This record gives sequence, structure tokens and C-alpha cells, in this order.
Amino acid sequence: MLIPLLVLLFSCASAPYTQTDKGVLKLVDLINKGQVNEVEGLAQVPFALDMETLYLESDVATYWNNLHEAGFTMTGPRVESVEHVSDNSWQAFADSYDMKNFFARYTGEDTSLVTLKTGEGTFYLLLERALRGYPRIRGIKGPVQ
Amino acid sequence: MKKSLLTVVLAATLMLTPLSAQKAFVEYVEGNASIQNTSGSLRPVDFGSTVTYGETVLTGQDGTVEMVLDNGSRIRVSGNSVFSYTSTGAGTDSRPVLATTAGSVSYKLNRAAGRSPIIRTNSMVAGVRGTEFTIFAGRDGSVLLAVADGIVDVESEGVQVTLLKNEAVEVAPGEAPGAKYEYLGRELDFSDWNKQKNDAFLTDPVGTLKAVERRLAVYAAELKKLEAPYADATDSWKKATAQYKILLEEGDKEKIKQFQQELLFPAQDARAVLILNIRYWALNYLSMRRYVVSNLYMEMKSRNPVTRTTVADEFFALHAELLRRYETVIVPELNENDY
Repeated sequence: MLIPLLVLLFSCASAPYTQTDKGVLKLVDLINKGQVNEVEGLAQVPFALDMETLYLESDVATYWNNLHEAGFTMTGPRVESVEHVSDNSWQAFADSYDMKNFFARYTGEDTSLVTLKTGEGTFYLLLERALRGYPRIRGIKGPVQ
Repeated sequence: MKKSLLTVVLAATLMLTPLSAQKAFVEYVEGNASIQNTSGSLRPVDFGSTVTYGETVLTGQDGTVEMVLDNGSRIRVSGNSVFSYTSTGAGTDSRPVLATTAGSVSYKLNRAAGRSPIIRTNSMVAGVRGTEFTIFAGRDGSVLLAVADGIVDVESEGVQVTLLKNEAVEVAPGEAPGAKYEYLGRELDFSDWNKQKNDAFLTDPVGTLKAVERRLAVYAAELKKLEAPYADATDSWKKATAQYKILLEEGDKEKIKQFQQELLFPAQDARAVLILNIRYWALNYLSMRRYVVSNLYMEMKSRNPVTRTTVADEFFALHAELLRRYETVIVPELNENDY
């Protein structure tokens, strides 16, 4: 009884983290409400923004604040795909030295590349293990038409 | 240049870095702060951490890091700041480079027994002689340097300004230093200053990015200047190496020793110095691109997330062009560990 339980626990702890549609949409709701900065540690640094990398916490916080002040929302969000980051995932953000190295250095087996369809276009989200019920966010690209 | 450069850069670094390459010892840390090492990995800063050549200290919003160098000089990195510790030159000509790339860093430098450090920012270079000063590096690439004690020579675009106690100067990217002024009795508030810079950027985003472009062009031009000397030095070094192999086969120890001293080692050293200089300019470019260009992009993108104005379109077009040049001119000089 104990051994199967331990095996189950061990496998859970070591398995790559998988994002659920529900979790992603919960995060989108938080973004739409302009409350990302209210969950401390949710937005990770370094942070990929399109083809750029933000290294400072303050820059990432400013990004979310400005988005909210600009009235940004993702309307009608629909999760199109959730994939664990693979060798070529960086190309979804930019075919560049920076993004190649960003993905190599700052993403891991718990990082997923989520493709999100919205009324504003397609967004790519880099998401990691949840924090207080929301996926941590490592990067965002979009909207791409 | 990259292929040959990469093969020898490690050897060159080992050969030319002074045996007693200075370390900065962390004496105080508060809040979030990390050290990015030469292979790009981040580790948290802790009491007793050491920062060595090639490493960068990044502080979070609530972070502060205070370091002391071997000679007793002190460096204080405030929150939301980026400080890099590198060196330039080689052997006895080696000089530490203390770089403030973003945020606020205060220095209290002792008169060093060896060569004095170079103080670098995105917009200017300064020489110091036992002095106390603070550098504010704005997120638009501008710099404000304020001297509390001693003398600081600030240079940008070929123009030098000497600052004395209680004097300050601003330097915009790609421009000569502004007029110096006395700040005694006036509180220097980095947050306000940085906000003013950001407001100015928002008033003229394309103009600000063009100013950054001019500074990047200076770095690219310095790199270009080194192309021919590097090719010549590589050619001389290859010829010397080929000749050296023949001497080794002949086995005349006296001749081998003489050749080493007179031709082989000088050829190696000359090439290695050029490699270090090439990397110095390439990494300066990388730093400006990484901490300034990316921030300007963030400011524009976050204010124009879906629909864009004509000005935003112009900004993003110039930004794309800057990244294209970075990929073609600078990236070939970088390796994975530089990221």
C-alpha cells in the first residue's frame, strides 16, 4: 500500500508540469483585470516580451501596469494548444540569438508554450508551475494577426 | 572574426587576466538581488558572495547590494539596477571596468595602487582618481553623474568634462556631456529624474531611439576599426606558429626559446589584446541593446498593445532595424555565454 503511494507521489513530483485550459483562462482573466502585479512572483524575470527580454522586476511590473492603463484586454480567449517547450519553441517568439538563448537558459521541462486565440489576435504565452492558483508567466508574444 | 576569436578567447583570457583579478565581496544585501555569471546563469546574492570579472549584479525593486573591492573601494547597487564588473586591456595594461547599465550605483573608490578603474555607462566613460560619486542610468540610455568628493573626468562623443566635488552632469545617449552644474543643497532624486527621462521618451520615442542608435553606431564603428588589425595579427600569429613548429622539429632549445620571446609570444599577445578589445565593444553594444533598447520597446509596446499610431509604427520599424543590425553585426562576435 505504502510503496504504490510513494511511487505515485514520486512520479507526480518529477513529472513535467502541464497547464490546463482552466488555469490559462484564469490567468487571462487576471490580465484582463490588470491584476498580474497583485500576485507577487507571478511574472518571472527574466521575462520574454515578443523578441525582447526584460531583466528587471520593475520593467515587468511597468509592462503590466501600462497594459492595464492602456485598457488592454484579451477578448473571447480560447486555448488553441498547450505544448511543453521543445528545442525549437524559441522560434515562436523570434528567430534570434536572444530568444534562442533565453529559451535555453530560462525555460525548462515545467515551461509550456500556450497558443491563445483572442479577438485581438493570437498570443503565445510561456507559462510555468502555478502560484496561488495562477500559472507563473515567463513571457508573452502578441497579438499576432 | 568569430571563428578564430572563439577558439582562443579562453586561452587569451587566462593568459592575460592578471593573476590577482580583483573580486568584489558582498558585504550587505537586502531584498531580491542576483548575480549573472559569465555563463549567463543567475544565482542569488548573499552575504559573502563574490562578484568576479565578467559578472553582473541585478537588483529587484526592493534590492540593495553593497560590495567592497580588494583595495577597500566600495560599491553600492540600489534597487532596480544593473551593475557589471569587467576589465579591459591585458596584462599590466589591464583595468577594471565598473559599469552602471541601469538604475543607480554609488561608488567610493580608494586611490588604487595599480591602474584606476574605468567607469562606464551606456552613454559615457569616466576616469576617476580616489573619489566618491553616484551614477544614475536612466532607462532611455541617459546618464546623470554626481560627484560627492574627488575628481571625475566624464567623456562622451570625444568631449570631456571634469567634475569636482558637488558637481553633476547629464549625458544623453549619442551626445556630448551637457553643461555641468552644482547640485549642493539640491536633492538628487533618481526616481524623479528617471521619470522625466521617460516622459521625454514618450514625447519623442523615435527621437530617443535614434539617439540610442547613434550610440550603438559608435560601438559598431569601434568594432569595425578592429577588423583589419585583427586580421593582420591573426596572420602574423599563424605565420609565427608555423615557423615555431619547424623549430620544434629541429629541436634547438636556444633557438626555440629565442623565437618564443621575440616572435611567438608577442604575436600571441597582440592578437589576444585585440580579441579582448573586440569583445569589450561587442559587450558594450550588447549591454545597451539588452537594458535600454528592450526597455524602450516595452514602454512602447505596453502603451500600444493592439492598435498603433503612426509614431508607434515608426518606432517599431526602427526597433526592428536595430535588431537586424544587432543580429548581423554584433551576434557574430558573441558566444552563448554572453547572453
